[in-house]
Amino acid sequence: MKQPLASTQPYVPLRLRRTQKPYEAEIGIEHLSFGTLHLTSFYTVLYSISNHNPTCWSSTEKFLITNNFLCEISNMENNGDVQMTAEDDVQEEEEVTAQSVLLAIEEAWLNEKFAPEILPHRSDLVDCMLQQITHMEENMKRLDKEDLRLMIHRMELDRIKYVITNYLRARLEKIEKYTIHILSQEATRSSEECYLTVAELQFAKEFLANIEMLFKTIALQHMPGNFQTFEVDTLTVKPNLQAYVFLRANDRINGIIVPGSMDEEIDLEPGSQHIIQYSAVADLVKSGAVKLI
Amino acid sequence: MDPCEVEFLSEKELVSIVPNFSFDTIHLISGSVGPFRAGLPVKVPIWLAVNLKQQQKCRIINQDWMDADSLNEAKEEEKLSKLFTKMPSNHYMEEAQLLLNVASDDISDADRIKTAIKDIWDIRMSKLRTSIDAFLKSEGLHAKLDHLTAMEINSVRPLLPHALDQMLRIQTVCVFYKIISK
Amino acid sequence: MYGRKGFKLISELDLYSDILPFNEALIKEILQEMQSLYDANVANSNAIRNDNNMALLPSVQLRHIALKRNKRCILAYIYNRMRKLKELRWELGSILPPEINTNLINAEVQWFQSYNKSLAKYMRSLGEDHGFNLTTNMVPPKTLYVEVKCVEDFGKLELDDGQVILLKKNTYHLLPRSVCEPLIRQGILEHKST
Repeated sequence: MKQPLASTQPYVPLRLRRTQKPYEAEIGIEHLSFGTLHLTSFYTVLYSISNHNPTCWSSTEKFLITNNFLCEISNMENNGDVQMTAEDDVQEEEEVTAQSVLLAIEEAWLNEKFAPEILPHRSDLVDCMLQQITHMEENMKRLDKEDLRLMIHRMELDRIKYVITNYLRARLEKIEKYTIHILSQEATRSSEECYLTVAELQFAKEFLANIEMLFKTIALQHMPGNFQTFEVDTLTVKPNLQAYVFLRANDRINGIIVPGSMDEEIDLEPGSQHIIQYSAVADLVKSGAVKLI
Repeated sequence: MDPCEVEFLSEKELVSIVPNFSFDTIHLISGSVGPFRAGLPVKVPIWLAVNLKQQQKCRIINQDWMDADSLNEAKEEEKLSKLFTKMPSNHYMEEAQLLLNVASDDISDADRIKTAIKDIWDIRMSKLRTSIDAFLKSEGLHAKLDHLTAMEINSVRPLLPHALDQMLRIQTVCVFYKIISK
Repeated sequence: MYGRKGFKLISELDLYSDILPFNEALIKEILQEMQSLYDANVANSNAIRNDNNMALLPSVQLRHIALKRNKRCILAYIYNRMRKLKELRWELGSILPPEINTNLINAEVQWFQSYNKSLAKYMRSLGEDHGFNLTTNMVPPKTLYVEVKCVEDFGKLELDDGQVILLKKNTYHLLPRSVCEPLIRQGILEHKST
């Protein structure tokens, strides 16, 4: 009875960054809070990682959307147990639901909103969620106009789109504000550890080139002698990493040195909330050990 | 952050409704909801509850904690405690506002609940102001903010980090002048 | 006094939040001031080098600072106008209203077009094939439909489902929020307060 599922579902490749903490933990928590709901029932995303070759992903990663709300499978009382297995590397599988991807995007959104600097991009999550949206919109076309689900799905998609839009706009705003700084930092990073996506990098470069062009045509070229130069150093705007931020700890963290103090150290309990200089927790935000609130 | 964004976040919290229609489980990206059985309570996110209610498709069951008596107890406890007490929800203010706005006909005692929530909010905000004042005067560099809820944190966001940033700037300048005047 | 014109230029940004006509005349004057400061400094520097006349050094320094300040003021003026233009792109879309356009100089129009192009390219790169528009969904969604009043004749509007409605001044409509949002920002529709 459960068999047909695997064969009817589309495979969509998903790239998930290694540094992310396992999704299992989040699924576990949500399972409890949702009580009666079967989380793994739908949009079950199964992704497996090969431990042997961390730089090569594409071959073993499988991302399954089991978007069957319209599918022919009618007998799914037991859908909480429905699982699909990728052909290879069974023991290294991590299960990722669309729900956990959404939660991760929401966290990335708030982090980006509150962090003074630009954070490593999460295009893995964004791409995955945009695929889900497209997929869902396709399926919704088949629903009757009066169908209750149409209204509900549309509302949910609006909410998700708002989060993604706001997240990506927050990044663009930082790119536009700190263009020179971000580009010079990015130049020191290898392609695996870069903070910008390819498209963002392109946008940043064009943005800088356009400003330079604007300055030159209107003013710089009419200035005397060496005042004509576009002085990168004096025009650089840097984010204030000493800005204070609010955060909630996801994990237990010991021995954070409080900036500005002699040698005061603090420990963070999971779930505890704090205000502290961003510079003290920047790495923890990036690793996911704390989240900004 | 705009308060409407905090409200947006609070709309993810769950609330029980009693639908007047029946429908199978709906599989949303954020998790499945349902099945809906007319007359039987079911938990859904607040954004959905509010919209179903607006379309007269359901009755909203009040959150367990949104009860005037227990809120008044919490209020007394908040008054007595020096620290912030734990709130029943990280979004108590927004949830109460959303639900009372749309479903005051489903919620008995709406006025008393509203007053109690407002009182709790006021007590906590004045506590917050006092502790921020003390924190700034002590030239603190870090503070623990346990039990502060999302809207409360957001209400001090424009002020507290900004004040601390300014203090840091003044300190930096002072240190700089001390060095060059030596 | 040196730098006074530069100050006048940037105070214009503070006094008016709208984009005023580009102040070409004032910029020209500042550039002239820069040229004369620069010429004087070249002459003095030569005198210092050839005759070892160190007494001229403070004047050279003063003029140099004035030059730098003038440059800074002009660039700040251009930069802040650009920022306002950028905001308009997000608020009103890729076509600027004529009353703004007439206040821009050619280089600014060019900048705006380039920005449009970059942004469009970026948004097209998102998602799988048709891109993802970042200029909608600007506020947290509440309801799917909003009641709006049309405050300006707009004409026909096609909805996502193919339905065409006529937006005439002083008419009321119940429309999908995503469709209304840009029109509300452009001042064609108004939220009907409930």
